[in-house]
This record gives sequence, structure tokens and C-alpha cells, in this order.
Amino acid sequence: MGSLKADRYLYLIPLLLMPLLMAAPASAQTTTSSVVEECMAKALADEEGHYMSHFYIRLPAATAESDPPVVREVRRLAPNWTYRFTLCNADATESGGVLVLDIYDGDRRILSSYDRDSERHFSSVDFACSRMGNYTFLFYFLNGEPGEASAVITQFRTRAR
Amino acid sequence: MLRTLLILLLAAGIISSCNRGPGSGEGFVFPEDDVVPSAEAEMLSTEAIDDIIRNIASPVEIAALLQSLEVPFSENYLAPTRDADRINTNFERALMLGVYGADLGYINIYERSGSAVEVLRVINRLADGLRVGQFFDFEALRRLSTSRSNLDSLLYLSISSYNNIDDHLREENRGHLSALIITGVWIEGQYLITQVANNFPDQMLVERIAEQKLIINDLLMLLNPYCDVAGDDYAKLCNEIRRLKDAYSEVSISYTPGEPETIEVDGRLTIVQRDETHIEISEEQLQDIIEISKEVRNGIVEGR
Repeated sequence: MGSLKADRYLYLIPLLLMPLLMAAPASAQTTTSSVVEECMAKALADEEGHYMSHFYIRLPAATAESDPPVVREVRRLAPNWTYRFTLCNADATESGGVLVLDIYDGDRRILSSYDRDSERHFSSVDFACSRMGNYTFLFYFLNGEPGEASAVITQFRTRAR
Repeated sequence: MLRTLLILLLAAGIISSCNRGPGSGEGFVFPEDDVVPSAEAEMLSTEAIDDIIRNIASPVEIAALLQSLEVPFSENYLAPTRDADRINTNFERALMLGVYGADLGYINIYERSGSAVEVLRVINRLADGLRVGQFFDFEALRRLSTSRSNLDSLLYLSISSYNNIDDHLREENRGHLSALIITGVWIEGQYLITQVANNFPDQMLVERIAEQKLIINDLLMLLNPYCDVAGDDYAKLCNEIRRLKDAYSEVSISYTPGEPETIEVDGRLTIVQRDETHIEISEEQLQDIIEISKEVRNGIVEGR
């Protein structure tokens, strides 16, 4: 499968135009736009793993009266698999904020794509899972800015460390 | 760019809709026996159903695990397609759409193009029977399944198709059919992993089988609203899943939390979870689960 990876993402572009995605409700956040296409191509150009899921995130700016808007999704992750999260912002001049992903195990945050201490943002994060469970993903834009972005999850077997 | 894309999508959607068979047009009324009155079914919240459905069963997860363990592909694990023409109720159509969806995931992961065409034909027939055929692009699926070169595209297309069918059915107040599809996917995955574990004993497979204990509860939560109000078929299915749940009652799963390790390599952040899972399952319990899983799955496939 590895030797075929280099150009396979090209097939995704026409596929993304297929009508099946028309039915995806807004609440599921699984719809299509150019940022999804680009993110899919970026994630799948990688030699490792295969497609698992993707998200389209579009949020308004936070207001003084309410909590910053977030998109919440729950996914069951399994041990011995590494899940790679590829995060892609739409064109910064149009979309504004930088997408952040936090993953919670119950009420404990176990992963963030944004390092608050160093103020560094990671557009690719791997999570090597060791326990089956339902994990909550929170997607939001840094500093409550509005934004449009996509996240793609690919998965591969965890290598022995 | 976005506007152009949306216009293209809209046009494609309209064209696709126009090409569908009878019953897909606006204003179609589902037969009465295809609708379970929501007042009779004690409904879960939409958010709870979303969380359950997206997490019970992936049509490719078990297959990907088997492939990564280098377990050889076998057509013997697949549900026979020769009996599919006898299926004539929506209950069976939905369950078997799930079963064949899991088989398609298995075939796709192993890139066995020869097996895909017939399974796709049956899926097409069942989906049309449920009036959700518009969510599959069978020509694209067939092309991708037989080309052996676009695994990710194929996974994307098949997973998205099933997700969109689920969304559509629930929007149409046919969530009971969605629950059946999910049940079919899970049952076939359970059959696949238990049969493989029987033939190729491997500790990782045994642990994954044991962990299904957590998922059966979710599955029953999804089915429960329909168990007593949607007819004998549902009641029988619920009893079969409960029988399987009982077989898991003595399986023990516990965890020791660990502190996650954070590593950065070439600009990519890696979080390594250090929780430890402790699973206790006896050989007798395992054999019991394997046997009941087989009985439940074969009962569905054979229409018993």
C-alpha cells in the first residue's frame, strides 16, 4: 500500500464532489469545503496509516456574554493504535483563528494541539492509545476568534517503543 | 472557490437524486410498518445517540486489526451473498446492510477486489430496498474496490456513505433501521474477530474480544427503545444480544491510570498514553462468547 500513497490523494478531489456528502447535517460537522479537500490530501499524503474520520469546523467569534464556541465530538479509540490528527486552517486572511484540538478522557485533558506554556501550535498530533474508551474531542479557535478549519484522523498500529 | 464547490455539489446532488428509483422523490410516504412511532419508543437524546452510533462499530476497525496481525484473508468469514435475494423485510434489509458493510470493510482493507463486486451488488439492492441507495455511489465504489490503488478513497467513501445513511434515517424518523444497520456491522465484526481468534489464537485478539463487553451495553442502549414496541423481530434480536451480554458477565476489565508521555519529533507532537488495561477472561468464557457470537450472527444471516 505504501508505494501507492504518493498520488492517491488526487483521487479524493473528485470524490469529495460526490453527492453523498450533501446529506451530512451541519451538527455532525462532516461536510465538505476546500479546506477539507486540502486537509485530506495533506493527511493522506503521509506514508503511514489509513483514513478513519474527518471533521469540518466553522465557528463564530466568542462573545462577551457566552462561552467560546466549540465543536464537540466523541470517538471510541482502541489500544495499540496510534491516531494521527492533522489540523488545517482555511486561508488565514479569511478564516481568522487557529484551530486547536483538545482531547479529554472523562474530565481529564490528555492532549492539546496548543502548548499554553510555550504558546506553540502543532498542526499534526499523534495519540498512541493504550486504553479502549470513548474520548471527547473539543475543537475551537484560539482566543475565541472565528474560523474555518478541518481535521482529519488517520490511524496506524503503534510501533513498539 | 467555496461557492463554486457548493454549486457543484448541489448540481451533483440534484442529478443523483433524479437518477434514483421509485420512492426517492419528494413527498414519498414510508409504509406504515416502516415507522416506529416515537411516542412508543423511549428515545435517547440526539447527542447520546450520536455518541453511541459513531462509536459502536466501524466497518473497518476489526479488519484493520486482523490485517496488521498478518492474519490471512478468508472468504469463509464472509456472509454468503447467494441468500440475499430472499430478504424482503426492512428489518432484515437493515441488519444485512450492516453485515455486508462490515464484510466490505474486511474486503477493502485486504484489497480483495474479486470479492467486492458481488458484495457491492447486494449492498446496492438492500440500500435501494430501504430507499437509501442515493447515499452510495456504487459505480465509484466498484471502481475503487477493483482498482486496488485507492484504499483511503475507498474507506472514505464507504464510511461516509454509511454515516450519511445513518444521519438520513434518523432525520426521517427511521432511527430503528439505523440501529439495525449498526447492530449488523457490529455483529459481523464480532463474528469475524471471534472466528479468527478461534483459528489463530492471539492475545491481542482475545483482549479485543473481551473489550467488546463495553460496547454491548451501548448497543443494547441503542436497541432498547425498540425492543418491546417494534415487533417480534426486534424482541428476538434484543434477546439474542442480551444472551451475548450475559456471556460477557464474568469478563473483567480494569485499568491502572498512568501519566501520559509527551514527545516531540520533527515538529510533530506525540502523546503516549500510559494507562494499563487488565483483562480477565477464561478460556471457557472465551469459547462461550465465540459460540454465541456465531449463533447470533448465523441466525441473522440465515434469516432464522
